[in-house]
Amino acid sequence: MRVLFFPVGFHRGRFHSRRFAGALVFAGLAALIALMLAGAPARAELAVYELTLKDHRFIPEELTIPAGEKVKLIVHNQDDTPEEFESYELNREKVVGAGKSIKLFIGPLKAGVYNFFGEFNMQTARGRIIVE
Amino acid sequence: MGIVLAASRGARGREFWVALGTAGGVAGALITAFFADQLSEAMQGIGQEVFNAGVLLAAVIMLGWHNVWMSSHGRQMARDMTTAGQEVRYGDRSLFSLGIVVGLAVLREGSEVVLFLYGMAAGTGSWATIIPGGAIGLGLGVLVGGALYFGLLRIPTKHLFRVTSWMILLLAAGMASQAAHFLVQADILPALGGGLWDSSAILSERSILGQTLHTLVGYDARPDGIQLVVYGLTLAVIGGLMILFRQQNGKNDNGPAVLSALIIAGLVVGAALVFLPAGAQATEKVYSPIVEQGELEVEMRGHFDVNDDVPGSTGQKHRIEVGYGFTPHWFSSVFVELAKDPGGALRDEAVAWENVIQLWEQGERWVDMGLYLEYEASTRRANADKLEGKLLLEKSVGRFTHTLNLIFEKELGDKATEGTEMGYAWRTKYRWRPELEFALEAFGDFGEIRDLGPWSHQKHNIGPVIMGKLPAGRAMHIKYELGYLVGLTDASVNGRLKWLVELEVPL
Repeated sequence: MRVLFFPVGFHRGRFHSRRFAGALVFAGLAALIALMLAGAPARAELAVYELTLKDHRFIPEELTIPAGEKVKLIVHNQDDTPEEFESYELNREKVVGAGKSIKLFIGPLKAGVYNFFGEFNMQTARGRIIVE
Repeated sequence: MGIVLAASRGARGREFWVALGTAGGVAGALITAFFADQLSEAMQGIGQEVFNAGVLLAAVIMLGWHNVWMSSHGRQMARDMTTAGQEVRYGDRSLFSLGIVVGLAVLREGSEVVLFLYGMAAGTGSWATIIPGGAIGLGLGVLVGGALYFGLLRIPTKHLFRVTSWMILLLAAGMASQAAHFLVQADILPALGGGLWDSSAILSERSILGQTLHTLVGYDARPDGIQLVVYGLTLAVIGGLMILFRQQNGKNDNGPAVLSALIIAGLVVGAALVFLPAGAQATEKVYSPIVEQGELEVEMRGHFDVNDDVPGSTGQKHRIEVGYGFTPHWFSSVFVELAKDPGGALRDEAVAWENVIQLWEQGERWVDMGLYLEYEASTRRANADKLEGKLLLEKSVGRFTHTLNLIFEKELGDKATEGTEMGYAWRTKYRWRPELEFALEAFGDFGEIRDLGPWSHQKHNIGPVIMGKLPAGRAMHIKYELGYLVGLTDASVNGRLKWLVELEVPL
């Protein structure tokens, strides 16, 4: 392929490689820092929703959140055994220790129904998030 | 026949189908034997092998279909069968397929028997000695088959399905590996290492036990590499389909059996690839920055290269890893890398300690980010130790997940021959179902940063990959990846088949 693909390596051979490599790494780090700063969330503005696990059931079993918005979801585990909050549709899987709480960030999501369950107690721990 | 008859116990009219299949098989065997010469010469001399392989593969498909059908209807059938005296609606199509299987099996073995008998008669010039011998052989066969059948019948119904499913699974895998051997003889498939081991001393294929095992589970004293691969793949595919279609909460839950089959499949494939000629670089995996706390992971992965004409290829590498998510943000593992130089023996090449650090909560920021840090200590005196660092980035948009790894690798110490190298790994996947996701992956190696060569000297591969996570009972999972990457530059391998099997256990 004789195309100048993504200026790494040149068709004709080495060309100011060391200086170029240094510039590349610097650019990479700069992009990284920019990414981190840009991604820093304004946490105060996020809506917070809560789920509680008791007797291996989710309370409430149904939660409604607005579409197109990132929200914070806190799961409290009031049982004495650990549980794993899992949802394939939401692409989240996280263990909550007994008596502990975890926070998750969900969204922005399209309107629809997203099921979740507790992996360790799949018969009873089920619920869904309705996004509208 | 014994297995099939036992598996279909209680099904209405099964005797008819099995008898029909047997009759068809015998007739087919006679016809095949009659045309043996023509068949041998067909397709430039490999007609017989192709025919045998075809017959076997057709049987494998039928057996696989039977097992999948049983998985999806098992519960209903168990209920029907416990009602006294009630015969069950087995489904005509399933019986038909069983009949075909019997027919094919009889045809395959039968044609050999006919030829053998004919050859012997032609050799000794008389039928008188052949007939009693043949009759004794037939009698023995009926005895063994009958014993199998009645032995299986003694098993209570609720276990019968599981046992026969297992037996059929192994039967199918054995037949598939036999078919692979025929295709190797026909030079259609690469042997990938002929006669990898020779266990004739322990259990000869000619002994009665050896032959029985050969028929039942496909025992082969001197298997080719690809036979092992096909064996494992057949177990994995049929087993996977059985799990996928399994009825929920079924009494006859084949889950644990199939899980074991999948583990065996993974180990067989892994063992096979240990011996196979494959590519030089460490096997490729795209890493996600997301860490799952409290999960033990045992992973095996490898790859083998097709049409590898890259000079300087150093045999193959193979990786076995055990790791644990200690905190929600830190996963750590140790692994052993094995390698085999061409003509040499398989040896450990390095041990390494790997860490994945998740930087912030998934979805908390615009992109999920993590760091990968690995220290690899070479166990061979001539090689240098290595330090590898990666930046892990991931973003999900709807059902698509994009992941990018930026890779930096540096050799350490006085044995270091290269400077810092830079590379990447990338994946875009569509999350269709937990069991099956489709992805496009690309891997590349730019080479030493201080001495970046032209495009043609760099290595870049890209290709489709399927992956998924299968439930394995009690909150455990088996993750798998399988893909084929094509090379884009002169320095890359032309084609690379990559595979990965991982067991996840919450602890």
